[in-house]
Amino acid sequence: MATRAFDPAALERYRQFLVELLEELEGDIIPSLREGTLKKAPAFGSSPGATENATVEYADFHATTWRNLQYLRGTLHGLIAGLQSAIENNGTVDHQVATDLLRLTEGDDLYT
Amino acid sequence: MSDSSSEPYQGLDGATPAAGAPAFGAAPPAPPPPAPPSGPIVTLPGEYPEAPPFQPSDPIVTLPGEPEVCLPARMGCSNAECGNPTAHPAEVDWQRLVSAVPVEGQLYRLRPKEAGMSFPSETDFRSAVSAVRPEDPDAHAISRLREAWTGEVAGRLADWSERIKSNLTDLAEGWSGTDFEAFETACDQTRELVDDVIDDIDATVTNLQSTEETLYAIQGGDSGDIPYPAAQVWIDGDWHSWVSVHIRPAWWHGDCIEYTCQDAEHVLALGGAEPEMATEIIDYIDERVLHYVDFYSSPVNIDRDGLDPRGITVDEAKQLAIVDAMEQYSTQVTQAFTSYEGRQNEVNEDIGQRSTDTDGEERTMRTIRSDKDYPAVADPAYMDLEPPAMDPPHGTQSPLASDDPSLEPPAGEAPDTSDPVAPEEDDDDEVSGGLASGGPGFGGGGGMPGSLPSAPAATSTAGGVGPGAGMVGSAAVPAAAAGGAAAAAGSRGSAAMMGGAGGGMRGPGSSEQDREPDVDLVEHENMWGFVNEDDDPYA
Repeated sequence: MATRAFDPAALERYRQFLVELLEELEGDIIPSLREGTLKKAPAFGSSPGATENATVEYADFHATTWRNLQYLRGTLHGLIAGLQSAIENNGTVDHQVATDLLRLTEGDDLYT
Repeated sequence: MSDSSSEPYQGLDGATPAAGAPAFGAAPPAPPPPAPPSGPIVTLPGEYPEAPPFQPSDPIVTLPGEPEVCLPARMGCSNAECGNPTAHPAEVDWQRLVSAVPVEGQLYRLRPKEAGMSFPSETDFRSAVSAVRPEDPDAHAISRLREAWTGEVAGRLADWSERIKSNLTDLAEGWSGTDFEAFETACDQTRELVDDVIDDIDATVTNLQSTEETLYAIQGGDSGDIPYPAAQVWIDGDWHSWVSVHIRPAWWHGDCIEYTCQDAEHVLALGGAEPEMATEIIDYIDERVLHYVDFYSSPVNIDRDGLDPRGITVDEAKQLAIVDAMEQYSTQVTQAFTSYEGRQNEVNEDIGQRSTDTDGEERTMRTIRSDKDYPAVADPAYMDLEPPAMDPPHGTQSPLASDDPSLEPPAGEAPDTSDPVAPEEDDDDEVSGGLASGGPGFGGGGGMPGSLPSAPAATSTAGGVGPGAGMVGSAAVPAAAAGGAAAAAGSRGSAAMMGGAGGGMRGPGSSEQDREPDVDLVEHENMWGFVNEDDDPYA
C-alpha cells in the first residue's frame, strides 16, 4: 500500500463524485425541505391530539432531518476540501483536515 | 446554496488544533469525536441565543386550533323561545374529524353519509369541508408529504452509501497511506450518517402512512361517506297548531330557517318522516273542524250537548278538532319526533366517535428522528442549522352554512374546470359558486366579517336580502297567523291565508312545495266543500 504511486487523477475523480453528491444535496434535496414540497406542514387537523402531538412530532422530525442533512452537507464539503488538499500536496492533507480525519479512527467501526 | 459559507463561523473553536501541530501523520492523539449532537445548542453554542432548538419558527402556534376565534360573534335565533341551540352540538367534533387531510383530492369525494336525514346543500357541504381545511389542502395532505420524504429525500439518498463505498475502490488505486485510510474512515462515517438519515425517514414514513390510512378510513375510506350534523328542529307551537318550524342546520348564524305549515310536508320530509302524515293530519283537522261546524249548526245537537244556542265559533270547532287529532295522531307524531331525535343522536355519536378516533390516532403518531453523528472532517461553515419554518396549514375556519337543508344529497362533482385546484378563479362574484379551496367566503384566512359575503346573519335583520333567506321576515308569520283566525290556525286553510299575507314567502329552494296561495284558499283544497259526513267516522 505505502509504495503505491500517488495518482492525483483518482483523487480528482472521487472529488468530482462527491461534488455531484453535494450538488444533488444542495440543489434538490435540501430545497425540498426549505421551499419545496416538504416546506408544507401536514394538516393533521384541529383535534387536540393533532395540535399537541402529531404536529409537534412532525415539526421535530422535519427540523431534525434538516439538521442531519446539514451535517451531511458539511461533511461533503469537508471531504471535498480534504481531497483537494491532498491533490495539492501530493497525497497529504493539511494539518486541520488531517487532524479531523484521524479523529475518526476512534469512532465506531460499523463500516470498517 | 452555500450562502452561509460567506459568513464567519463562530462555533467549534475547540476543534482547531494548536498552532504548529504537525501537518500530517504525527498528529497528537485525536481529541474525542464531537459529542453526538443532541441538538444544535450543544453542537453550536453560538447559533441559538434565544430560540429553542425544536421549534421551527411558529407553525405550531398558528396551526388550526379552534377556528371559531376567527369569526364574528355568532348570532342565535332572535326568537327567545326557540329551543335550538345557536351552535349544533356536533360542530366541533365534525371540524376535528374533517380538518385532518390524509390524502389529496378529497374535496369532491367526500359526501354526507346517508342517515335518513336532510342533506346540506352542495355549496354548504363543500364550503364546510373547505373551511376546516387549509386553503390548499392537497399541499398539506399527509400522503403528499409522506411521498415527498420518500421520493425527494430518502429515495435520492438511497444509493449514496453504496456509491461512496464502491468509488473508494477506484480511489484506492491512486492513493494510499494514513491519509487515505483516514479519508476512508471518514467516508464510512458519512455512509453511516446517510443510512441513519434514511432509516429515520423510512420509519417515519411508515408511521405517517399508518396515520394517513387510519384517518382516511375514519373519513369514510373509498366511499367518502362522512356523517354530517343533522339540522336541529324546534316547533314554535304545539304540533297540531304550530306557527312555524325552526330548522337550524349546523354552522347556522342568526335566525333559524322557519317553515310555516304551508310547508308541512316538506318539513316532515326533511325530518325523514312520511310527508303524507302531514297531509293526513291537516286534512283530518280540517275535516273535523268542518264536521263540528256542521254538526253544531243543528240546534238539536247544540241543545243535546248543552252548548250556547248561538252555535260554536270556528275557534271552538278547531279546539274540538284538535282534541280529536291528538287522540288520533299523538302516538304517531311522538314516534316521529322520537325517531328524528334518535337518528340525530346517532349521527352526533357517529361524528363524536370518529372525532375521538381521529384524536387518538394523532395523539399516538410518532416520528423517528435523532441528530446523527458526523465525521469531524465536516466543515461546520457549511451547516445551516436553523431549520426553516414550515408553512402551517393556514386558512382554516369554522364553516358557515347559508342554505336550506335539502332532500337531495350534494352532487359531489368537481366543477367543470381544467384546474380543479383553483376554481375560485372562475367564480367572479357569484357567492354560491365558492366551493373548492374555501371559496370567496373562506379563502381569505383573515376571517374578517366583511369578507364573508354569504353570511346568513344578514337575513336576521333585513328580511330576504341575503342568499338563503327563506322568509321574507319572521314578523310575517305571527302577523299572518293572527290574520288567519277565521280558520283553524293549524290547518291548511290557515296556511293558505298565511301564504296570502306573506306572498311568496319561500325562496326558490322550496318551489316544489309552493302553492299559489289564493288559488289554494279559494279553489284548490275546496276546504269548505268536500265534507262527506258519510265518510266521517266521527259524524
